[in-house]
Amino acid sequence: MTFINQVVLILNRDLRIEFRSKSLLLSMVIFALLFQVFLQIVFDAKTQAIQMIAPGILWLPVLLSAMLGFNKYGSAERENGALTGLLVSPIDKGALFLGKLIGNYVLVFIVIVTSVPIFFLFLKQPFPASIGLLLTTLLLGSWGFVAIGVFLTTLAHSSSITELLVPIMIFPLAVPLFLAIIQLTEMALFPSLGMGENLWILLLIGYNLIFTVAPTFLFDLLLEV
Amino acid sequence: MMELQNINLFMNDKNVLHSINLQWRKGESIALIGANGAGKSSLLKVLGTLVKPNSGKLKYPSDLSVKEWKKLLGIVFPETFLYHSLTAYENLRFYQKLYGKINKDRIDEVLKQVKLFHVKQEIVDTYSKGMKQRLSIARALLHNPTYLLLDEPFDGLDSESKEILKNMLLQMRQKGTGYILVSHDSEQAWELCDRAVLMHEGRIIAEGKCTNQGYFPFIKRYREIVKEKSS
Amino acid sequence: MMQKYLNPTKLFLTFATGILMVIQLYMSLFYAPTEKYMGHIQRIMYFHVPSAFVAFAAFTIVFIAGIMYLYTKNKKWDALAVSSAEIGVLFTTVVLVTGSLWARPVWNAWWVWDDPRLVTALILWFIYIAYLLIRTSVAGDERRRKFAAVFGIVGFIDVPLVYFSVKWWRTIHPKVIDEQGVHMPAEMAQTLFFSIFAFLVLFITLLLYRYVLESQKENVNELRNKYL
Ligand SMILES: Nc1ncnc2c1ncn2[C@@H]1O[C@H](COP(=O)(O)OP(=O)(O)OP(=O)(O)O)[C@@H](O)[C@H]1O
Ligand SMILES: [Mg+2]
Repeated sequence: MTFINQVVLILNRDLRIEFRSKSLLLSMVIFALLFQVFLQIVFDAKTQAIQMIAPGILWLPVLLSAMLGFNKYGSAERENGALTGLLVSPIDKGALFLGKLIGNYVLVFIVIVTSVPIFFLFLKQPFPASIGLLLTTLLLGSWGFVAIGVFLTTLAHSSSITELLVPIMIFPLAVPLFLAIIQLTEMALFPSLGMGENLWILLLIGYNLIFTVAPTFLFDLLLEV
Repeated sequence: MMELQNINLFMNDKNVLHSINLQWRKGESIALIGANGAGKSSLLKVLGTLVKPNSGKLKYPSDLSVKEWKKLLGIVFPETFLYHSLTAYENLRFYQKLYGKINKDRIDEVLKQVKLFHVKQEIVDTYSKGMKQRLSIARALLHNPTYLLLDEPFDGLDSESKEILKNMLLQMRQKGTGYILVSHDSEQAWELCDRAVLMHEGRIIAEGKCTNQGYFPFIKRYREIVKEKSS
Repeated sequence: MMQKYLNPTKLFLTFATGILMVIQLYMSLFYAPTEKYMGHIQRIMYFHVPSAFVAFAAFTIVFIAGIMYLYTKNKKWDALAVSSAEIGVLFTTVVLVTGSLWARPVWNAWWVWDDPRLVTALILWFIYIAYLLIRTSVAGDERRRKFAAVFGIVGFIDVPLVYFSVKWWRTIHPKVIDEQGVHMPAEMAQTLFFSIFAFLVLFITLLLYRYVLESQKENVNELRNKYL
């Protein structure tokens, strides 16, 4: 079976399981919305002050809700030895990684689709200055975060490392990503001179490439015993 | 022929397997017998490439790569490898694709063999323990493996299912599928295999053909070990 | 073979480190002139900068040893990595504390987000704390060792990304300090270079002791499991 077929197989399996119970997806979406409301209340957002914190309010619910997903997504694989069933099969572990990455991304994408419009609704924000840049940032930024999250979570699970450590590992490694998405979101939301925009997008793409391509090719070696 | 040469395995710094030498010819069925904790499951894990031995060599049949060896291998472990929120059919479809092409007739065929065809669209979570075990056996046989690792496959089966599985194994034996059978029912294992291997504290301490004359001396040895351990 | 040279090497390094550190103290406290604007507080630099060098050297070793461990599966590399990481975290802590002490009178704040090196050091500290946390549960499990090695490698690759992103992040906003602010007389430069050298020797000594300890721990473990 080709690599692509294997990716699709894993993706199919996970999404079928997730959409059958929907409990993870629902909790992720509800959590993002709830957190959105929570942030609005906490910061008692005034239109003048919002420029400072708007990118954070937009992203925090998405990122934390994604975080919620990493441990739970594909948890069926860790029950009844299903992971062992994969490890003894001839599947390429890179395909396993990529399938999980795409599946996780689908869930996070749904979170974004619900949570970002709500952000604009609550904020009475003017229409974003550059909707193209905003979309690019949302798509690339969440991909990068999901990539590093799935990379570390999958590796941790198959090394029997406690999931408590996963957030402690992800956040420091994701600092460049955070800086890039916050900067780009700020530029996208408010009229700006577009300074350094390309630099940040480049950083984002580079980061995504590193944490997508390297695990895809190395997972087979890393999980091999 | 699959060959283990001088395998040593440590788990959490505990020496679980001691210089194991084992030859497993194609189509040969081996009964792996030993008390609890003898290292039987660990030996199967080495053969299934789930753990890497700390020293020693695995020689795969006709110099296959690890990936190709995995394709030939079918595995029944105490864990079922099943996804409980999927149906029996979906489970088998997933595992069939994992090993190659989809073939619906083959899925139906194995489901009929393990007498689960009538409940194939039901979620595995609703199955009883024995049904899950039977489905796990179906999953292992789905891709027509040439080598089978069976770790207590009779566990949880009622006498009728045991009989079914027994017949399946005898059939496969005739068709040239080899298996290593771990079972605490030594008499049954004896019946189903060509050769028996006795393990004790991570070592192979006796081997013999499964002949009628050979049974009692072999089992006597086994009983002694179990007694010695519990005293 | 190696065992024969171990104790003399340890002894020699300990002495050398002792002497070098005494000279380093003398140079940084008395030999180097007092800086015109900052006063004595500037002398912290002779501890701050060398510590940063040591931390960086230590994490480079974690990176290399991680690759070597994945490649050879030899536990020696793993022991080297964990030893080096511990020392690295220790010296990063020194970097952060001395940096703060220096910044308080000079920049009028304990912490500034405008210095990419300082922020990178902080992130680095978190990354390798995470590394050590992974390590606390390693105990003889090869998969976890492997995981730690991978994390050590990824963490190191992440460092330049952190550095440049923080740098760009701050340069888009107005900058508080001037990079080229300090002009250094010869004595200062000599002291600084000597300090770096002395600290690196100190690092090698600590690493040797820590590594030997780690190997002995392994050996004890193995013996215990063999005979008990
Ligand atoms: N992950 C592990 N860590 C440490 N020791 C282990 C581990 N797995 C197995 N062992 C030890 O290895 C030995 C052999 O275990 P194994 O599961 O192979 O026995 P077994 O022959 O299959 O026994 P049983 O009949 O109970 O299934 C036991 O002493 C067990 O304690
Ligand atoms: Mg067992």
